[in-house]
Amino acid sequence: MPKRDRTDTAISVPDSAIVRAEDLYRVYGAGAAAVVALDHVNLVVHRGEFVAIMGPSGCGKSTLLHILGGLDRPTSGRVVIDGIDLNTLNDDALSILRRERIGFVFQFYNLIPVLSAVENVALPLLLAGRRNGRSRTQESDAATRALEWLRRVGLGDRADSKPDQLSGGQQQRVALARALVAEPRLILADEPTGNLDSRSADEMLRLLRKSADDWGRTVVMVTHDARMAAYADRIVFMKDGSIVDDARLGGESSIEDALRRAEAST
Amino acid sequence: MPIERLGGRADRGAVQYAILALLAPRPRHGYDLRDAFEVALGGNWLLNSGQIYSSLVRLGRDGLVAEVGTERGGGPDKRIWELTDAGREEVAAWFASAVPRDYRLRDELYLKLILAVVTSVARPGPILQAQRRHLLRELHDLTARRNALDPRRQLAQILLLDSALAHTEAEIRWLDVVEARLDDIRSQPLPAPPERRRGQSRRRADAVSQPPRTAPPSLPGKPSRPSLRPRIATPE
Amino acid sequence: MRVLLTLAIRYLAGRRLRTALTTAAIVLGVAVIFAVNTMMPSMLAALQGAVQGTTGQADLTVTSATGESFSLDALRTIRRARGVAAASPALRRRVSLPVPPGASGSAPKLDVSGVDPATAGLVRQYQMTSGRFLLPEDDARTTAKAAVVSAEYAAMFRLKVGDRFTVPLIRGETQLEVVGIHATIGGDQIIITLRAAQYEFVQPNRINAVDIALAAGADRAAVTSELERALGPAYRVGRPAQSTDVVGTLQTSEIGLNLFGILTLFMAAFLVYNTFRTSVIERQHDVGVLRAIGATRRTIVGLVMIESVAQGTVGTVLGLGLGYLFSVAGMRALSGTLQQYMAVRAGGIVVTPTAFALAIGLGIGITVLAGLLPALAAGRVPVLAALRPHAAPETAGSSRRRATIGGAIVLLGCIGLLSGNPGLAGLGACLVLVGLVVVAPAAVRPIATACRPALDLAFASEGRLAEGNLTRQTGRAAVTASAMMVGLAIIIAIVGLFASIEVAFTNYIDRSLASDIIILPPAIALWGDQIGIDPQFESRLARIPGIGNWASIRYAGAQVGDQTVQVLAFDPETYPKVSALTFDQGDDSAYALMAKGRNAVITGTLASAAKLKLGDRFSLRTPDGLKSYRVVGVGGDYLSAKVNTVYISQKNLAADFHKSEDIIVLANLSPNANLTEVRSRIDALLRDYPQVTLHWGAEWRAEQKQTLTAYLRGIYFVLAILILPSLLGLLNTLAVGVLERTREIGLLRAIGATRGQIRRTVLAESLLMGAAGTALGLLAGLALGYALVALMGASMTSQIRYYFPGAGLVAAIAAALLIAVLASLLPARQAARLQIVQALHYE
Repeated sequence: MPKRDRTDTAISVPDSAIVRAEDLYRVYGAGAAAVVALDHVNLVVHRGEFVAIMGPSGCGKSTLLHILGGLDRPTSGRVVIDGIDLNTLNDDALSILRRERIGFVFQFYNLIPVLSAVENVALPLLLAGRRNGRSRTQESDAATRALEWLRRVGLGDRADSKPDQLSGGQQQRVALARALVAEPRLILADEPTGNLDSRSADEMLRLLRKSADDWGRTVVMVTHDARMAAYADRIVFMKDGSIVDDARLGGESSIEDALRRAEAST
Repeated sequence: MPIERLGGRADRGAVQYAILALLAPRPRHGYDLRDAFEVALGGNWLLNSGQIYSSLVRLGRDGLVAEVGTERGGGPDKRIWELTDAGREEVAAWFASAVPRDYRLRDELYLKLILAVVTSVARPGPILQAQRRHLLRELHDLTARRNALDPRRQLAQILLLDSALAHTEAEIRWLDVVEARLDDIRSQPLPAPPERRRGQSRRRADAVSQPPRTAPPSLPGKPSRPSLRPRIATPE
Repeated sequence: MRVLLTLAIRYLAGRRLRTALTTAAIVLGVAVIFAVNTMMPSMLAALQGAVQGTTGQADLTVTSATGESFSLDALRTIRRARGVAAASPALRRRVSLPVPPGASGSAPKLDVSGVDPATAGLVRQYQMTSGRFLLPEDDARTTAKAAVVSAEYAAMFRLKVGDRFTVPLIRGETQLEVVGIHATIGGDQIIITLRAAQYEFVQPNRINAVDIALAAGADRAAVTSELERALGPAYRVGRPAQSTDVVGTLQTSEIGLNLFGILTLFMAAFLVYNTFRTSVIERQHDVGVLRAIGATRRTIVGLVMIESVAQGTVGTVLGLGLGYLFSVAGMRALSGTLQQYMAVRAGGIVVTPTAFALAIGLGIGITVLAGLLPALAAGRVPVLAALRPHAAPETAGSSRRRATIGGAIVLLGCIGLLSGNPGLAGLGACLVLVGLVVVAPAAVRPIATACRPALDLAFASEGRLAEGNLTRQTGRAAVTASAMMVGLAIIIAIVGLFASIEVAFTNYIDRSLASDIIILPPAIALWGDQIGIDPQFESRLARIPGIGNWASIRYAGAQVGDQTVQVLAFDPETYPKVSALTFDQGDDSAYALMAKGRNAVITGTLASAAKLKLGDRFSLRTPDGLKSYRVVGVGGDYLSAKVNTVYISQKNLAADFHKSEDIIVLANLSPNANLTEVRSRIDALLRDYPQVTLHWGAEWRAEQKQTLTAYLRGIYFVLAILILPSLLGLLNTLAVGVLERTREIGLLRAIGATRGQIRRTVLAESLLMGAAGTALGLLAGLALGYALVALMGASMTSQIRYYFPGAGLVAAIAAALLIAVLASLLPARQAARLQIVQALHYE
């Protein structure tokens, strides 16, 4: 089937499930050296959830995340993001998807070193180019929005700093602002705190939490750190390419309930 | 919430040292001591006057504090206590020394895992996963509570919750280690009680028929004697 | 997209040194091409101007096919033709004015025309600003001949009607009186009567041009063809002939120099490719991030292309400017040569649209192409691979195929080289170059192995590491070695070429103009209508005590078949005593033969052009028609460097060409000559003949050699600039190597390698690549040099023997190794400075 290059004409099935991974199978190499990274994985994530994917190294969690984000294609199976089947998209369409509907945060080296913080944040908007015929207004729009999101992550005063002038934690926050600037529905984070000290890590996770609670995103985060995973509402455990457990944390309660509990007890 | 409810032990020894430390800046009377203690710990640790009084008496008997007078005011007379020189030394030594740790070797989870392997009644995997889930939920709750506190006014609680978080995290990590060792564990010969020959006391039979036991690692602060009679550890 | 532009500019600025060096290479290439394509047309234009003389505004002009003089019979034929309203005979010569001693610059030249006063006005319009035109009565004057001068000339020498002035003609200083001043642009500068001209130019009853005015309504083409038919092939209707073949030589050189320019640009392209490849690899992670956040492949390609277009544009613009400066400086430098050898005043720079188009097209085009491959590669990398870069392993099977294909091409090239045909030799050289580039990756391993003993001596374990690194990534090493090879090859080739030329010229000078005294006109090698000195001079010279043997050389223009030739005439008895020809076929017995009958010695170029050999007969077209001569020798001398030449006796020249002016006089001093007296007597004699200059042989020869050497040194200096691209190529490759092996370096450091050892590893790698590049470059350079010499020899009198530039080679090798060391410094420092922990974490 020929692949489409535009996602805006895609048919969106109204669905509270923003991520549907169906029977994902991913193998690397061939013959004796073949490695099965994902072994028929099924996963559903609903709108507004904050999901952590945990597991020992080599369990396939990063592979799963990459495939969810369109960075990699499964050997078989399919992923439906926001109602769009990624298998039907060609390379350009995937790029556009990543630009508009998904935000990425990686473990390190998230930022373009030659651009300042606000320029980095504005990138997803600027890469949209002349698609709709806008140009100058689009650029000043992008700059304004980028600055706004930088403020929201607490780095409004560092807008013109280059990445090498920012600490690790600050860089990750800039990366998060960039992931949020295009107002995508889904945020994918691959070990976002792997390189940070515990204070910066906590700060980062609080922002991710805020993304889900206050700013209405769905967050899927890969981590090996239990403390970071505990911020999520739900933890998916992986081992050897399969999902072995799927647990709700905090029951039905969200952080508000926890807050209420905390206030009541003192 | 008082700390007892969170689990862990309130060591009366620790209360006595706290009294010594609180007397270091100036002499106080008993009620004063109680209030100071509770405020410092942010209401997490409540004492009653009886505890204070008996601690003071014990400390006086050991020559670390001395009664120096009485305060008269509305209500019953309040006896004022102060720190002696010996007491000051004792407090200084207490601050300078490390706190011994208890590694909870008589842990119920530990027991559960061993028994599961030995008796084959249950599989270790699900046990670990169930514990993991529980601990992560704990972690989630603790984190939420801690993040809801104001670091300027509630530092004591925050530090306490951080401690709980760290310990919980450590336990989760131990689960990961156990998980990784499951293969080893499975291939171990199951320990079975030795055959007893008639008339032999159990101990001698053990000595003869079983390979020499290696003593469990002796950990600082807790003299250990291997004992085959399990004692359920109770929070004291 | 502006964000791409921002990114491109920031990236370019982030690697300033490399951007600058790459742009410099482009600038150089464009400058060379622009300069070559500007100087050539300028030189050609100057030459055309010199050769053609002035035709003024006559409707048609008839001249002889050889440019020599002819009798008046033609005039009658012309007057009879239909459509010819009037025809006026003329005798036009070009006079070189003497250069004041000590002054430099070109000799000013005068066009002196002798016209028939009665008919001149019928065929041309002379606008007189003062005075009058010539009248038939003016013929009667014996002193102070009447002359009409151009307004330009009058202004230059502040003349007005009635003034008298002197002009050096064949008979020495001749006095003229201004009777009128004309303002016709392009008209002759000095006009005298035909009779006076015939007297002064010692050509009684001869003319060399007939100006024609067409009748009203006459068809020019029809009249032209009718005249051609009536007059026959001995005459040319329309424009006068060019009397030498220098133009042809220049056109050949133009191709050669353009080739040089293209080679330079090729190197620049190589460099751009290398640089972009490096920078794309360095930025692979950024590319990954951009793709992950939504950049399409096209965006990435566009990003790299913007950088390459930007560099190409900047480089081209700067290159055009530099090229213009090169042209100006070059013309100025060459004007001395032009003046000396061709009596041509170099005019202004002629900038043609072709030069612009070629320079801009090649400059930007090649840069864009060179950047395209890395750009496409960058776009093709899958996102995940870009985020987690790791070195790709090399396939081993392809290397054997490359070796065989490359080897075959080199072999073909060698066959062409040794074929003897200059064209094939040129092609052969190119094939050798291409073949070596193909073979390069396969050659890296054996070269590295061959260098092992030397490496072990200097480097211990670091050498092995370096060798291992190189043999694992032969492709990358080969690209660098190839860059070095091309640069080195060009340098060695040109060094070889010029060394050979230097030797050849030195030999010529020493043999041909070996006399003690040399008397030359202001310009040799292009004397067309230039006047010489009358034979009286030589008899007066001979009478000076202290002068021993002497000989004179005379000149005329002629044709053999359709080849334009110059005819040099000497006395076969006296000439060998003072000078000598170098014979390729035949020997000194030819001189005796030249004295009897119509026998001639011809130059090698003419022999191959007209397919003549010893003993053959050929027809020489003279003003008196075709004359049959026999080849008694094939050879030449310094004067006939690039020109088809026929040497005959002066007796034959007088008989067939009616010319007896001397162009050059050579004399030896007698053994007991009194130098001071000889000098003063000669000076006195020369005062009457200011149009020639005296040179003392030894000094003059030394001066010539010095000039040549000076030119060559200048060229060697420019060649040094060609080293720069190689330097950059090496630097780039090393930098990439360091980058890709960051983890490995971190590991080495962690297990105990010192910073110094890491630096030495990089250095060893650089030296190995330098060795590979040098080895290949030597081979290619020798091949290319051989081809260039063959090509050059084809356009010269005889083959230049290839002179093996031993000293130059040693210098080139030393330079290459120095480059290798220099190039390694920066990457080595970076490698050594890597923080161990960061390096280990580098994914």
